[in-house]
Amino acid sequence: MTNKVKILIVEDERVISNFIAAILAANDYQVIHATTGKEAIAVMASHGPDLILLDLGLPDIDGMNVLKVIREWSSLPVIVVSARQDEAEKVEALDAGANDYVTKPFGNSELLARIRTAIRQQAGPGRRLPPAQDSGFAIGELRIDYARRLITVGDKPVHLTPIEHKIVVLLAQNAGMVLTHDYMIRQIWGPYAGDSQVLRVNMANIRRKLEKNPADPQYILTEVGVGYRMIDTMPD
Amino acid sequence: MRNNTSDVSLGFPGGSIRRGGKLRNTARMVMIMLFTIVLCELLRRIGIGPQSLILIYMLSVLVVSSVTPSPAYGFVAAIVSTFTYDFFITEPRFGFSFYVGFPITLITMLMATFITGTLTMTMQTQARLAREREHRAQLLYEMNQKLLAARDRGTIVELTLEHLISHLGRPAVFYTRDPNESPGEDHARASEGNGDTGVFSSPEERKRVHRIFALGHTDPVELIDGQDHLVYYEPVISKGKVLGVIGISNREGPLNNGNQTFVQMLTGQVALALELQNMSDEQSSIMVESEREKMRGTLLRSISHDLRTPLTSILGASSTLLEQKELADETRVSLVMDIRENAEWLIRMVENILTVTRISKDTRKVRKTLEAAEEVVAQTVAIVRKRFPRCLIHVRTPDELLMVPMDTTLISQVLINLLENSVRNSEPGALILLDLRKQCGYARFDVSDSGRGIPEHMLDNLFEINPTAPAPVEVVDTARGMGIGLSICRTIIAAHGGTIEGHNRKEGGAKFFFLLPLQEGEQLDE
Repeated sequence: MTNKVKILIVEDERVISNFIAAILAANDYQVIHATTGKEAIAVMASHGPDLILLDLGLPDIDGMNVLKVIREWSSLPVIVVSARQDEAEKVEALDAGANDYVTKPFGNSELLARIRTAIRQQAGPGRRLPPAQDSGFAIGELRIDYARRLITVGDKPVHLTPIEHKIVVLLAQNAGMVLTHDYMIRQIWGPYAGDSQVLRVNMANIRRKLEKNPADPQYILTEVGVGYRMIDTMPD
Repeated sequence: MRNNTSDVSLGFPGGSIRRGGKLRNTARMVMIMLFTIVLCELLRRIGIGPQSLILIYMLSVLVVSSVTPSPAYGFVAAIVSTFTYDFFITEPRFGFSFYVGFPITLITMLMATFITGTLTMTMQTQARLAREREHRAQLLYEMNQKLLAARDRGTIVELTLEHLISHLGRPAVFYTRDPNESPGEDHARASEGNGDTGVFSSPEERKRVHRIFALGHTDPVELIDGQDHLVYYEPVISKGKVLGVIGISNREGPLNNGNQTFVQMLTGQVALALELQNMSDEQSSIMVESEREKMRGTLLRSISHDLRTPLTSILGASSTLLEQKELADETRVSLVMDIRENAEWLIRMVENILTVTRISKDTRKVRKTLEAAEEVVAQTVAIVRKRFPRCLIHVRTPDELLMVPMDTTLISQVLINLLENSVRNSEPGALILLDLRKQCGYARFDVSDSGRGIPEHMLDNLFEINPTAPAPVEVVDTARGMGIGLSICRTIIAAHGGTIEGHNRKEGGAKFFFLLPLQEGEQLDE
């Protein structure tokens, strides 16, 4: 066996799993298939994949339940593939432990980027945990120095309030991943603060301080109705 | 008896005043007596005999008992008359003789008083009942007028309760549905400062109401021992169907017959009004349904026509690729590109159609959440950029954070449609401007380009679907499908209570803008 990354595709539509398999194989991944939820759980136990692409609309078990079963005993990265444009479903999947999601129809490059990010996150720190003494974060012109609590864009230092700083650091430490509103609020304000309005106001302020054009952000992207994502690679 | 009287006086605030106070009646009596004494004294002086004068005394007693409500005044008048007659008229004057006829006079006077009093009482009772009836008829008439004018169920219920409470002075309740099936749906109301509605909410009372809804009439067992219940119920029935149940608190004692009749008559009118309302509701829902059916039909005709072309193209291109082994690489690539282009177009089309299903079928309303407008704008622009990597979109947002109640998927779809429109009608790489700002309580989104502009013949009905218009059948990226896209935009914006407009710019190119209310509930009339 080679040490290729092994990806399990759980998808009942043969047409879709065929073309995903073709792209993944072309990008040097090893691919295994499952067409039902039960098969997915069995294959997972026997083959030990490195990442799962999970379709939420499965014929036997609801994809959300498959995700919950997987999360009971494994923390391996799961990317949810959802056909529905329902934000609530995405949030539910993320809160149930999915690492990321893609919405059908998706582009090849988008899918590959999500897979790379999920695998990198897995290789590094566990999902949504602060990295072990990572010294900083850099993307484009944005530099974050965790230890000195310093954020710069180009040469100019950015002055953030303590809360804004916490938010930016949280996003940077999970760069490439969507953090849901609820998750961010719990991390920043604690378990009993429940107002997403405050988070949005803070995000608007951060955008105005960090981005060249706050109307057209480069670094922190909004997934409307779901949460925020700090980019981890600059677009071409 | 006491109960009854107090009940009536509650209903008729004027009643007790009309019958006068104790003081006024005593004054009346004294005045009449004094007048009689003076009159008789004058008549005696001109030589009229005592036999005639006693008749005048008798008359005065009759007058007293007929103008006073209680027989007591008459009795007092009778006794006083007998004594004054003895004192003033019979010999010796200014002294009591207790003449032979004294007891007979007294008894006669008392009996006359008694008979007159009884007659007066009956008359007064009759008059009072007539007044009550008249008052009720008046109330029912007013009620009827108002009920006929009422346009919705809520108003009917409110009016009924208002009338019941003001007439009876007791808390009343109106159930439009079985409380066991939909708890919390009753319309309990109490009159001001007069008892509370707590009496209606006990489980036992709910059970009774439930039985009425289930049986279609009041439980016969209750009619037998009905007087002990805390609440009097009257079902609102039309064509054998219970449309509602009216309850009136019995805590102040059971209702008298007149008031029960009143409630029953009122209930009849309410039943009529509710029945009418049901009919008009049904009719308007049929009209809305047929309107929607028509729209759906137009949309479907227009879509199916537009879908067939790209599907045919995809089928043809893929079959060619499979069957023709010896194709030039160039041709292969071009065929595959065609497939992709057509598929992308189909996806956009389907997304547009799907958004329409998000608008609720019954109310044509959308599920709105408060969202930051700039975030929706930024995400939408990112989506369009991904689809058209060469397009140049510049975004401007205000310094102030604009929170707008909206369904983000739908508004995002509107922006996508407008931006794509601009991209398709502009030279590759031409600047497209998306401007967001606040304008008098609305969030205003502007999309402007410097492209070909809107064709003259489309300006008048830009947002209408026109299935009869010949669709250009050349390539995918023409104005084909634009009609549907814009009509969907208008549907979405209208469902948000906003407006959308489009026109050509003087400098060339087109400009579309739409307004969304910043406050929930503010609606622009179309």
